[in-house]
Amino acid sequence: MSAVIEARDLVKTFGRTRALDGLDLSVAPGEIHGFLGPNGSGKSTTIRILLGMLRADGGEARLLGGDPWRDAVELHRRVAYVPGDVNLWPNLTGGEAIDLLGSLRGGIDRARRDELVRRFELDTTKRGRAYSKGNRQKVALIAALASDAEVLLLDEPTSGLDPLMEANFRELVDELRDSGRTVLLSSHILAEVEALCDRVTIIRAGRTVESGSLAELRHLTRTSVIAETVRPPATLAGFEGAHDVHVDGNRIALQVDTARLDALLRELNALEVHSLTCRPPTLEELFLRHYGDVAAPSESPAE
Amino acid sequence: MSELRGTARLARLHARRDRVLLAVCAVAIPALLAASAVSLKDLYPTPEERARYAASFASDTAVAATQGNPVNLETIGGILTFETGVWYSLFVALATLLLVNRYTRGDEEAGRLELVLSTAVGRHAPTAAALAVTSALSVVTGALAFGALIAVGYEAVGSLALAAWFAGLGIVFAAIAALAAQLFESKRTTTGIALAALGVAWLVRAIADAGADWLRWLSPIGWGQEIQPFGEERWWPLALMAAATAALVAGAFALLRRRDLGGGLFATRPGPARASRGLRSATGLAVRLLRPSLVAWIAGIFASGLVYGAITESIEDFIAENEELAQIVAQAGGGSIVDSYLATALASLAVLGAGFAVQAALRARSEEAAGRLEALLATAASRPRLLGAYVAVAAAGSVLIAAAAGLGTAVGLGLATGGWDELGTLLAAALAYAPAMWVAAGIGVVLVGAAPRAAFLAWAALAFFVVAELLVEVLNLPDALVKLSPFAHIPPSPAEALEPLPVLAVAAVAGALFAAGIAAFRRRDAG
Repeated sequence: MSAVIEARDLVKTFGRTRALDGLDLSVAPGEIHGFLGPNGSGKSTTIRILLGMLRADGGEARLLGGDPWRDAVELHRRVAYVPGDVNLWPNLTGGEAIDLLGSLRGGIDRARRDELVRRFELDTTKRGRAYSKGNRQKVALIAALASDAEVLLLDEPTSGLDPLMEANFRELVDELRDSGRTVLLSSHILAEVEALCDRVTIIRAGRTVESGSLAELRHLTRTSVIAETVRPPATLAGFEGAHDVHVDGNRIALQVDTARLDALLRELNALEVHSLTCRPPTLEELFLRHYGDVAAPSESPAE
Repeated sequence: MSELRGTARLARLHARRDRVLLAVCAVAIPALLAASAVSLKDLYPTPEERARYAASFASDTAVAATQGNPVNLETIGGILTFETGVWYSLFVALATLLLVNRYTRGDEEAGRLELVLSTAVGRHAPTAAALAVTSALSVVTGALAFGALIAVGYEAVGSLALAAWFAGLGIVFAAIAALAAQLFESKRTTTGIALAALGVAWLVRAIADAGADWLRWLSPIGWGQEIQPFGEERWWPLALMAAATAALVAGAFALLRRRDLGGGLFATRPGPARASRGLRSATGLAVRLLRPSLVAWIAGIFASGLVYGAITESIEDFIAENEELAQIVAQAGGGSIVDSYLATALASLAVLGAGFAVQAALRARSEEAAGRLEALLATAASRPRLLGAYVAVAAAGSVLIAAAAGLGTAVGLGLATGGWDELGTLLAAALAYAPAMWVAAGIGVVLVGAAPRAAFLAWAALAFFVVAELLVEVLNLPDALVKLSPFAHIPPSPAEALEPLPVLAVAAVAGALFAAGIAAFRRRDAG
């Protein structure tokens, strides 16, 4: 089973700026893949290379087994895209823009288009210049989702959407998963990624810093534990693998390397546990750990 | 006065943002004027030569319609005014008009004014700042023109009068553009309206100069002519310009107070919920985007052709009355003076009409810069198809505009004289210029493909073609330089026979430019 999207050691420079600096990305067929990174870390550049708009200066990118630059037109029949910044023609209506993009991709499923227009509650008779940011986003989403593309590249597709429409979008992505499509979803809304994605890739400054399923990534990080014990837990202050330990009487709060969680629980057990809260790291904590410039590797991020 | 708060800061912002552009605008016309002034001095150094020059134009309405009213031609300054005044002042007006639209409706449409007006900046300030910057540009242009004329030895009062005309017209059209910018939501539309106003001002003046003198008072360009630099040197037409400017600015401010930010006086109606069959392709989109300006170009060129054609008759009368000239024409042999006039008219219309070809080619770039190409690039439309769509519209539009030039001239001639025999000849002669217009578009396509940031240089190339066509005698340009223009290679029919070979050669150059531009576009980063 070969990957739908495969990027190895991608390099792209703009003048003196090194936008991508050896980026790796692999997305398997049928996967909803989260693509995370701070602003300017190279997410959109990567997607544009995958679409053959930009030519990589180094490394290799493959999309559906083809060369995104050389085979752009052939590949684009099987790919749909929602740009991060949707710009519409000021004097074309939203409906016209959807149909135009659909026909250029090689045909549009009319029934599906109309259904999506209904679901997103878009007024298709308004001109491009009259749409708000969220409505422009809807136009691009409908155009992309109305196609029967095998692969969807979505660059922050829900920015500007209201919570109702965001829920709509999640439903639609679930439907895509059920029908076996592959989605690369770049997003800053971590709850969205957590809810939708099978695997995630986190990049920073044009490099991949972490990639895997959420469970795998969690394993690499820490679990936060809050416990109240009958006997004072002060003895745990120097526990190996514990960080940020706060002891307050019989209450202890700490972060522990997930690999040492089991050992910690045994120790706590010996102190007679009264109450215990054990929370896996949120994606946000994972994210902040990789993003924060100040956070040294051995320290936990502040909450 | 709180409505004007922040004007000075915004004016400084524009001056900073466009410092290069503004400097080029301020220097270009005075430089062109100085070059013309020197060259005319060389051409007509003695009173006798000037008298002969004056005699040859004194009652030539055809030339008057294209250049202006031939008055005060016994002085070198009068000749300079006649040869350059109408056209150069028109260029100044063109610059201020485009800049005002850029600073007002352009910034508003792009959403930048929303940000600016959310600060402690008055509602009128953006418009006032645009007017301040462009008025300053007009005054500096005038001052440099005045200085340049003094430096090359022209008489001071006349030079000042000509400079005042340039500056005054620039300010009037800045005000016209400020008013037009209030009317519609789209910058392209409001710019089009201001350009149409400039075109009408030019046409009204042309008809006035061809005989209906009183009409000149209806055209701001006519007011400039009535200053009569190096002749009567009347100053009160400047007061007319000032009054018109004040009224236009007051009107613009009144509309500004009535309308919403981002809105126009005329609201945009909802459109179709589905794309028509015609719109569902890259070419369909390019046609849709460029159709309004193509229609305007065709109408403008056709109307100018009508005027050129209609006044042809006067040339024949003029030669009939002037034995000396008739002899010269007879000695020169070949085509008649009417034919060479018609050939010149068609060439002028063609080179001006090439503006659409450049505009269409560069639209590909402005769509890309606005971020609207990105979504199209991600579809199955190939890059050659996406850029080729604009090439096709530029090429087909050139043919239509060339045809409009030929038909307009022929119809004008036919209506005035009742003779329609020339229709086929004039149409063929005009259509022969289409390949030269393609070359202008081709330069744009090459730049879009290879150096997108420098795409605007295609306008510089076209400006050179216009100068080489319209000002070749005034500037006394060397032949080798003129031959760089594709328009110089098209046989000037009906004055000369319409040889197909040079036309095909120019078409081949255009084809090569298109191919090179598209090939370069395939290789670069895009979107």
